[in-house]
Amino acid sequence: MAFSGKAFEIFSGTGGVGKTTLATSRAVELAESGKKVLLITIDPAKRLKELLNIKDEQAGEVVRVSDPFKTGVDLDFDVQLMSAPKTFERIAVENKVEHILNNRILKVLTRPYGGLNEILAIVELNMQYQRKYYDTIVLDTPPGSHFVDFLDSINRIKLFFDQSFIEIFQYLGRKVEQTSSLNFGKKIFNTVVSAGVRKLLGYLQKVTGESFIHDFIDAVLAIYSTKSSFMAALALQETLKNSKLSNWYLVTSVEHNKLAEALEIKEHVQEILSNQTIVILNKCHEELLNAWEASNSQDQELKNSLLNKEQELKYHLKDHFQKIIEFPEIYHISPLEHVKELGAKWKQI
Amino acid sequence: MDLTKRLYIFTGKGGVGKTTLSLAFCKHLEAQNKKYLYTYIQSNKLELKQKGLTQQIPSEIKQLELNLKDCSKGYIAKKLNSDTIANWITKTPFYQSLINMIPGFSYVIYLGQLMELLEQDPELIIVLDSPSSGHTITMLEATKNFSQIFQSGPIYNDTQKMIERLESPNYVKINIICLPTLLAIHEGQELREELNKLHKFNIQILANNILTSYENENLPSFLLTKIKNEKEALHEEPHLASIPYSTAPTQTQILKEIVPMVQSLV
Repeated sequence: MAFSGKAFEIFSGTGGVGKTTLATSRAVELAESGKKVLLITIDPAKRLKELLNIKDEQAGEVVRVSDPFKTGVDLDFDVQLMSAPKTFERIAVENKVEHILNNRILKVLTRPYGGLNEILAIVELNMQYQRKYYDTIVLDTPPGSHFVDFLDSINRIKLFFDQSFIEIFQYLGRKVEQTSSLNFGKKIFNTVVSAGVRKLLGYLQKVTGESFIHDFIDAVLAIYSTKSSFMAALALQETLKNSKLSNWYLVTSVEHNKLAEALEIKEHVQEILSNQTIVILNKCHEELLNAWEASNSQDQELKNSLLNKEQELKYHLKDHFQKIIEFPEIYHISPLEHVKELGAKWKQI
Repeated sequence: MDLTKRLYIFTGKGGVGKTTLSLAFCKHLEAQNKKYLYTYIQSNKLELKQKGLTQQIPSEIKQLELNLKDCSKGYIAKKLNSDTIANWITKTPFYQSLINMIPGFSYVIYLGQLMELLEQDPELIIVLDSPSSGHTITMLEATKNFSQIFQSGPIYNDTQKMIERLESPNYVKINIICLPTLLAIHEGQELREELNKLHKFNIQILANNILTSYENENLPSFLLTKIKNEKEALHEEPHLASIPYSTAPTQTQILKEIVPMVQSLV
């Protein structure tokens, strides 16, 4: 097998291109070759959830999938459906600050679409990696520009925990607990920076309302109390960057007109990771189309149109990426068969 | 497609034809002498206008250029009556991290801006070519999240007003575009479920690039299987609107073919 699994197998790509199914097939294939595999997925469609045997209420937990194809062979791997609130709960427990789970703003922000998803995903990934139980973690990342947010979250963690910034908050935080409003009385900050912050908060609360500023500062301090978990996740960046430890796949498909988005994701990947990205072009049917002898003009037009679309995409991709793997379009409707066939395709690479 | 709503949102996975369909809808509005504005969410980081690889917006389309970042600056400036202060606030690390932590913040202000335009001009229709489905949920959920986060103050009051409007029956219509595969249609239905948890929205699922009209016995078996799967998939959604695959080589030509079909879309 030329394409051995690494510690991380990361699948990115635009939505609907078959990213989750491909990631699943990769997990299956690696598990078949005897590896201990964890598949972390973000938001699979219901049918794939059924295939993977995960129920919504199990979100955030690691679930064992055994013999998914019911063939009686010894095949199992673990699956985890990413859950922002569950990850945050674990972080709070790990840092022994369970009380922060009651913060109003954090409750909202850690909802599935609340905004902290991508950052929490990085932390979760690191927590699983640190268990050192798995040979490979296959990660199905959020689609499209959410993936850019995901990559960005490493920088966002850095920015957020910037020392000087936090010191100001710590100071304000103590004050907020002692006083009922943001009126700091006679205590005046010595530095220009803190005077600026006070003024800023004064202005902001005219827009956001007073209680928000209080709760937001509390929320920032609460996250600060879990700093070690976030900082630990920063170290992951080095592992992800190392091409000996990670494979990055950018999945796109022939039926989606998404070259620009693929290039954009590539650019962001390069910014953060010096690693080479492998493009997976899914749902190819060039060979089948070429073999088709269209007999009338309408058929010919259809054939040419489908062929052109695929060839044009390949041509542009070759311009920008060194390694492109083509996966055929699978015509089985059953997701089980789908995963099985794609799994077989991985073995041929 | 009915033209009685104020805000038409086109969403769905990337590359399935959101832009083409929303542009076709604009051209249809134009032909009906309706006053409209086309807008798409320009996020801060994503400059999609690279090398002409993304779809060009035809110059005859009336476009509203709104940048997420400028939106929140404008909002703060208005509330504080000062551009200078707003400029300063939005540059501070505190504000930056607030935006970073709460991405819905910009979305709420953006959506609020659109709603304000609609209020100013009762004739106007806005066509929003929205980013991927996840961002659409973030945007629409943000109004709800924000009234919970803020609890009082101008933003709170504004989000309350926004929620009221979103919930009124003739305000917004959401079109979910998907490809005609079982998985894609199921995902469209799941998105509809998610959105309906927020408000009782008026939602239409549209399947694009349908091959069925090309069906004949001379097609190779893989295409016949594809079409068979497609038919089964379309069957899953009773009120589906469908748009055939176009063999036209350019976006402009595809658009031309689709515009006459808009009328008949549910």
